[in-house]
Amino acid sequence: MKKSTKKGILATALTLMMVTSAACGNNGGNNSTNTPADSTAPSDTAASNNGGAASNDEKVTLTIAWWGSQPRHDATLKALDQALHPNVTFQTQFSGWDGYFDKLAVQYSAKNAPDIIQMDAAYVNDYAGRGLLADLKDLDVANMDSATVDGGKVNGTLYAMPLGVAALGMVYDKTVVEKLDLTAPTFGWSWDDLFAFGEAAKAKLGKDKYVMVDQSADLVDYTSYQYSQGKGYIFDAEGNFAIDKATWINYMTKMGELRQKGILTPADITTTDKELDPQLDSVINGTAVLRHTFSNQVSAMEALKPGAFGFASMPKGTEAGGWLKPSMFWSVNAQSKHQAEAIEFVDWFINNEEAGKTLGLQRGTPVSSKVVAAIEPSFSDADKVSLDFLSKVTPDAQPFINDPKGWGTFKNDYKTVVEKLQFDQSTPEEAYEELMKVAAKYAEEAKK
Amino acid sequence: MRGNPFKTMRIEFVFFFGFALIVTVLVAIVVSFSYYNGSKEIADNTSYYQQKVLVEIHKKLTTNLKDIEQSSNTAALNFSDLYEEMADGNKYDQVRGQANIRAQLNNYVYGMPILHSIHVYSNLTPSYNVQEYVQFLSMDGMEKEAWYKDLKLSDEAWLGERIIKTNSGDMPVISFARKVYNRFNRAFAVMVFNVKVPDFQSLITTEDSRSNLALLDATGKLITHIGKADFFNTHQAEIEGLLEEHNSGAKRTGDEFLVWTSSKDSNWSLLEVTSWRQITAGSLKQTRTILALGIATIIVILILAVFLSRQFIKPIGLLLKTMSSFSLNKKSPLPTDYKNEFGTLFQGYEKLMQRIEQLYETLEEKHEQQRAAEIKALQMMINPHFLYNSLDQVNWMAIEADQPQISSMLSHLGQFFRLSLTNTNSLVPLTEELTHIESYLQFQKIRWEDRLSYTLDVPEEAGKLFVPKVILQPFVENAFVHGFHGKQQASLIISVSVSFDELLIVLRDDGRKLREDWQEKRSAKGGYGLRNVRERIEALFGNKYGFTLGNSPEGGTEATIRLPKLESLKQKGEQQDVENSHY
Repeated sequence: MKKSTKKGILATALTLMMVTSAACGNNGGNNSTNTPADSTAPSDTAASNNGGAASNDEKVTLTIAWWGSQPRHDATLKALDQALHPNVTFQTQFSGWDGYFDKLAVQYSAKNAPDIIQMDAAYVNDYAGRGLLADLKDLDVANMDSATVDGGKVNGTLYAMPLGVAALGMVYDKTVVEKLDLTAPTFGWSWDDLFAFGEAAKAKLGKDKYVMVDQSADLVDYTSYQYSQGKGYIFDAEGNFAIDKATWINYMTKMGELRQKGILTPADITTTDKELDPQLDSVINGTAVLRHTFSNQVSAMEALKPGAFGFASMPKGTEAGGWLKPSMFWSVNAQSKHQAEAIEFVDWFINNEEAGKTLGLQRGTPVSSKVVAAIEPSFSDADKVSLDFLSKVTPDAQPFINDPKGWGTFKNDYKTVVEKLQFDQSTPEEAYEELMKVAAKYAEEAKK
Repeated sequence: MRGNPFKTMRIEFVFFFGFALIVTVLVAIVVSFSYYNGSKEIADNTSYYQQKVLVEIHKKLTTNLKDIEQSSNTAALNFSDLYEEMADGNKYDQVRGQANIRAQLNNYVYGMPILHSIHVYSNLTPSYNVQEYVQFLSMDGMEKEAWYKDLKLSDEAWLGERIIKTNSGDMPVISFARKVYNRFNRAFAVMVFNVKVPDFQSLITTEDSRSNLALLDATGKLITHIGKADFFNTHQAEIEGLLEEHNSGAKRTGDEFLVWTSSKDSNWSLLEVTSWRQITAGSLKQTRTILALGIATIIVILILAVFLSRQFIKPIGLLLKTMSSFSLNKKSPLPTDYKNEFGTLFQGYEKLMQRIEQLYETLEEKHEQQRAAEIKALQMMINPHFLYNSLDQVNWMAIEADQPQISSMLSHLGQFFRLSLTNTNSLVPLTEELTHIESYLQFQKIRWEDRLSYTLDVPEEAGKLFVPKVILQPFVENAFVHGFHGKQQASLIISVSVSFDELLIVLRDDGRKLREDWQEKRSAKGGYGLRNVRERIEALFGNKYGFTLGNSPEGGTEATIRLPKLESLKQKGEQQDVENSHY
C-alpha cells in the first residue's frame, strides 16, 4: 500500500503546529534479513481478543520496545513511571536505530517480541502484511486528524498509531560558521549553495576538519536529491524501484569529488560516525560542520550543545528536497497475551495530557490536538526551534510514501553498496549495476 | 532446708511447692523438647528442601550459563574466521568485516534474551556507543580492567559483578570472558559476554524471591548475590572454607543458617543464607504458645494445689487444734461430715478420747473406792465403842472382885478409848492428844510400876496447835511392844517443839534399837499402825509432812513427826470435812 499522506501531514502540521522527532540515524550495517513477503497470517484472531479495556486486577507486565536518542529514552522511561494502571508494570527494551529491527525480527522468530513496538514507516507494511501487528481500532482517535491516522493504516486497518511528524532538513554548527565568517545555510538553499559552502568552509577548516558528514550511503540523502532534481520518489506508484540512473550516477560522482576534496568526511571517519552520539557524532564532536537531520532531533542536539546549532532545509534543485514523514508509530504485537492492556497503554500515551507533558516533543508532538493544547505553554526553546524547522519545511515538502512491503531492509543493502564508493572500491557505474542487482532480488522476493 | 522436707516442713508448703516444682519441670521439659525438636526438624527440613531448590537452581543456572559459554565458543570461532578474512583486505573490507562481525554478534544478543551486550577487545577500530549491543574496545584498555587478572591464566572466566556504560546509565553486569585464538594459536582478542545482574540473578532466584543467595565460581570467587550483601562480603573466607570441605551441606553460624551445594560437573557453587530466627520463628511461636499454655497450666494447677492442699490439710488442722486444746472438762467437737479417711481418723480420735475419758472416770472411781475401803478398814480395826463398853463392864467386874489395880487399868484404858471417841474431829488440839496418850501411859504404869518413867516436854504455845487424832499412840504402842519387850526399866520422852511454820514431835525411848531391816520386815500389826499414820498425814497435808524413825542417843528408838503449824481448824477445813464425813 503506497499511500501519499502529504496532505494529511500538512494539515496535521499546520493545525496542531507540531514538531516531532523521529530518530533515524545511520544504518548499522548488518546482514540480518527479515523480509518474508509471503506470510499473510490474518491478525484478526489475535486482535479479537483485545475487546474492551483491561480492567481486571491481574498483574500485567508489558514489554515495550523503542529506538531513539538518550533524551527520548529518559523521557519515555519517565512517562512510563506515571503508569496508567497500578497493576501494569513495564519491561523496557530501548536502543538506537541500528539493529532495532534486526532484533525485532529475531524476537518475532523466537515468539518473544515486545507487546508494544515502536514501528517505522519502512516496516509497517512488512509487519502488518505478515499479520504480526494487532488491529488498533479500539484507540480513541477523536482528537486526531484522520489523514494522520490513515498513515498507520494498511488496507484500511489501523496497525500503527502515528505519533508525530518530522521534517527532513539539515543541521550545522552555528558557532563554527560564525567563527569562520561563512554564509550560513538557509531554509531554501540550493545544491550549488551547498557546494559553494563546502568549498569555502573547507578552505578555512584545514586538513583534519571536514564540512559535511558523508551520508551518501543513507538512502534518505539520495531520495532527497532525486526529489530535488524533479525525478520523483525512488519507488513508483506501483511500488517498483524507480531510481533514475543518470541522476544517481551524477549524485554519486559529485559526492566522490567532495570526498576527494575533503569536504565530505573520509570513509574511516564516516564509518565511526554515530548520529546523536555525544562522542561519535561528527558534527557534535566537531569533526564536521553539516549533516542532514530530522526536525525531531533538535531537542536531542540542543541538549548536547545548547545553542550551538543552526538548521536548514535540504538543498533545492528544481524542486525542494525535504519532506514530512510520520516520525514513528506505536504498534501492538498480535502475538501479545496482553493486547487489551497494550492498546490501552497506547491510547493513554497518545491522549493523556500528563503523559504528553512528560514526553514533550521527544517522540514528536502528540497527535492529539487536546494534548498539544495542554503542553503548548510549556514549550522549551528547543521545542520552538523544532517547530520553526517543521513549519519552514512544510510549505514545499515532498510527499512521503511508506516503503513497499518487503523493502524494509533494502536501505541496509543500499548502504553496503555505497560504502564501496566511499572506500573507493567501486565506480558509480559499477555501484549502480550492483544496486540494480540487489533491487531486482528485492523486487523478485516482494512478488512472491 | 535441712533434713527430709516431708518430715520437717509444713505439709501445705511441701504440697504446694512440690506440686509447683513438678509441674514447672514438666512444662519446662515439654517446652524445651518442643523447641529443640521443632527447631531441629525445621532446620533439617529447611536444609533438605533448600538443598533441593538449590540443586534445581543449579541445573537451571548451569543450563543457561553453559548456553552462554557454548555460544561464546561458536561466536569466538566465527569471529576468528571473519577476522582472518578481513585482516588482509583493504580499508573497505575491514569496515565491512567489522560491520559483519558486529552484525553476527548482534544476532547472538538478539537470540539470547539473557545476553545484554558483547564487548570485543581487539585491534579492530574501537567504538563504544551505548546505543549498540556490540562494543569494540582496544586491547590496551583491557589490561587496565580489574578483571584482567582473572583471565590472565585461563582461556575463559566468569567475571564478578562490574559496571558498564549503557543507554540506561551505568549498569552492573556479570560477564563471561573468552580469549579468541587464531589458527596460529595466538590469543588475539577477548570477547566479553555481558549479562545484566538482575537477569543473572533471576536465574538463581526462587519463586518467592525471599532468599539470600550467593553464587560462587570454582575458585570460590563471589560472582553475584541476592540479598544480604554484607554477609557475603564479610564471610567470603569462611564460605570458601565450607565449600572446600563439602560439596553440599548445611551449617548454622549465629543467626545465619547456611545451605550450600556445588556439583562436580559444573564450576558453580550456590550458597543460601537464611535467618535462623526466621526459620525457627514457627517453632518459636509454637514453643511460646506451649510456654504460655504451660504457665497458664502452672497457675491453674497451683491454684488447684492451694485449694486441694487447703481441703486436705483443713481436717488435719482441725484435728491438731482439737488435740492441742484437749481437756477433760471442755470438749471441742470435730466435724462429722467426713466420710473418708479423715472421717475414720476423726472417729478414731473421738473413740480414743472417749476411751480416755472412761479410763479417767474408772480410775477416779477406783481410787475413791480404795480410799473408802481403806478408811473403813482402819475404822473397823479399832472400833472404840465396842471396846469401850466392853471395858466398862470388865471394870465393874474388877471393882466387884476388889481388884483395884485391874480396875485402875481398865479405867485408864476406858479413858483412852473415850478420848479416842469423844472428839469427832479428825484434828484435835495437841493437849488433847497428849492427854489421850498419857492415859495409855498411865495404863502401862500400873503394870510397869516404878520401872517405867516418862516425860512430856510440851511448850505452852504448842498445846493449842491442831494435830491429827491418834497419831502418837502407834509410836508409843510400838515402844512398848518392840522396844521395852523383856526390859526391866523403860523410859520414854515426848518432846514437842514449834518452829515458824512447823510442829515437831519427837518420841524417844531407851528400849531396843531399831532393827536394821525394820522397813522391809514389819509385822502386819505394828506396820499397819505406822503406815496408817503416814498415809493420814500425807492425805491431810501432803507428802512434805510425815515422820522419820531412827536410833535415839539414849540407845533406843527415836521417832520424829513433822506436822504443819495449824493454829485453827479453818486452815485445813476441806480435808477435815472429808475426814469427818467418815465418822
